Amino acid sequence: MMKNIAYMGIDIQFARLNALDAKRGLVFLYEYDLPYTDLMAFDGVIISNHVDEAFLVEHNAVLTDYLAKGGVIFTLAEKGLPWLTEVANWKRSPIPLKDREARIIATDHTLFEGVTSYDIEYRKGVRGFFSRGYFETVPAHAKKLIVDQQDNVIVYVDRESTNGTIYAGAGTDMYRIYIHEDNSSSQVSLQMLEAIHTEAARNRGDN
Amino acid sequence: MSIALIVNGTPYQNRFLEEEEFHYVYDDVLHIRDLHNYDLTQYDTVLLSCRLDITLLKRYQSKLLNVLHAGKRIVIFGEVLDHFMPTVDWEDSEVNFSWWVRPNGDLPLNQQHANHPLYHFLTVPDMKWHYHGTFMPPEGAMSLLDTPDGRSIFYVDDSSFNGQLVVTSLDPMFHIGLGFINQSKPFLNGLAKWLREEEK
Repeated sequence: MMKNIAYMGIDIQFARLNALDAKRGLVFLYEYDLPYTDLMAFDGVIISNHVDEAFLVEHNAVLTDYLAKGGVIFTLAEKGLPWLTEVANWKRSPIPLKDREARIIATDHTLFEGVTSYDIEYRKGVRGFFSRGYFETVPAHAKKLIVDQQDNVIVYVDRESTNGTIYAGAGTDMYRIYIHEDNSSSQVSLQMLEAIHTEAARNRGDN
Repeated sequence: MSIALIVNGTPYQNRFLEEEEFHYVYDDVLHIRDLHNYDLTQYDTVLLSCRLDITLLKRYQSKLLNVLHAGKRIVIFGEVLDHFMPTVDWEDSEVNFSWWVRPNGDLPLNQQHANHPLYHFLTVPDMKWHYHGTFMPPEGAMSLLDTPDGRSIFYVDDSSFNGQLVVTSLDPMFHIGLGFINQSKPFLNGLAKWLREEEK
């Protein structure tokens, strides 16, 4: 049975969800409620960039336990502290934003299918929204989905490091920022949710 | 003069704190989760970094108001939601982030009180990237930068409290931490120099 997906952040305007998000089965998870939350109630947890990192370090066991039980985490944080330690810290790219490419080199389930690199690189003619950095390292077995022109990894999926699945994006909120775009990038938010649901079912062993 | 900067420990705030260029802006960094441990009135100025948890801001509202009652200054950056600070009238705006890539594009803003000391340290272009909302300053407050509809994105209120409340919807710590929107640097430098100069 399909479950909701949690979207975690502190309580700021940029993290609050709206009626459309609710209709899609997204539930706001207030970060400071994490220690009291049973994450198994969710098919997945999207971790926004609006998180108190020190608090996540203190309560990292909640995330670790969830992954051990087959949970799906999709992190969008530019992490710099040791929480979700399977994911390397974010590093700022030296490539100027106006020149930096985000090359989609693979899809996963439907994630990024039919989406062009141009449409995620530019919003209304401005480049640099998708990502301003990359992961310092990625696990050897990870499937790379998006890289820059120096082959630094911006998005990947890791099914081996834990019993669960980790999707990691280096810094943009690809769920939120493209929802109302008038091009192929508008599909990304729904593709993310679909990928999380599919992965959760796979990890549970559902048919 | 002592300045406290309140942060929430987000990745972009943590990276802002790593920027040595801006270490002179603040004397102490306080995490919003720990505010119960501090007497904020010991500071001359308290800076509320952009993107602080609204629930916690409301929890510590009385501590913030005590700063103003004690005759000290608070500077608020970014959105002011759920009336966490009384007297502040916030309204969401559609964000025009792409004006500068369009031919002859502009983000219309009207300077007010050009002789205000803040403008000794920064210019209107330093304040022009985009904004997420606007304010209607209370009676007696002084807007320094208006949107075309007559609302403000930067005002100084010396009337509502014993102290001074400075309110701006601009969000420099966020953008400096992200490494996105270079104009946010001269803005924050100018504002900080004004704050430091004021107290000499």
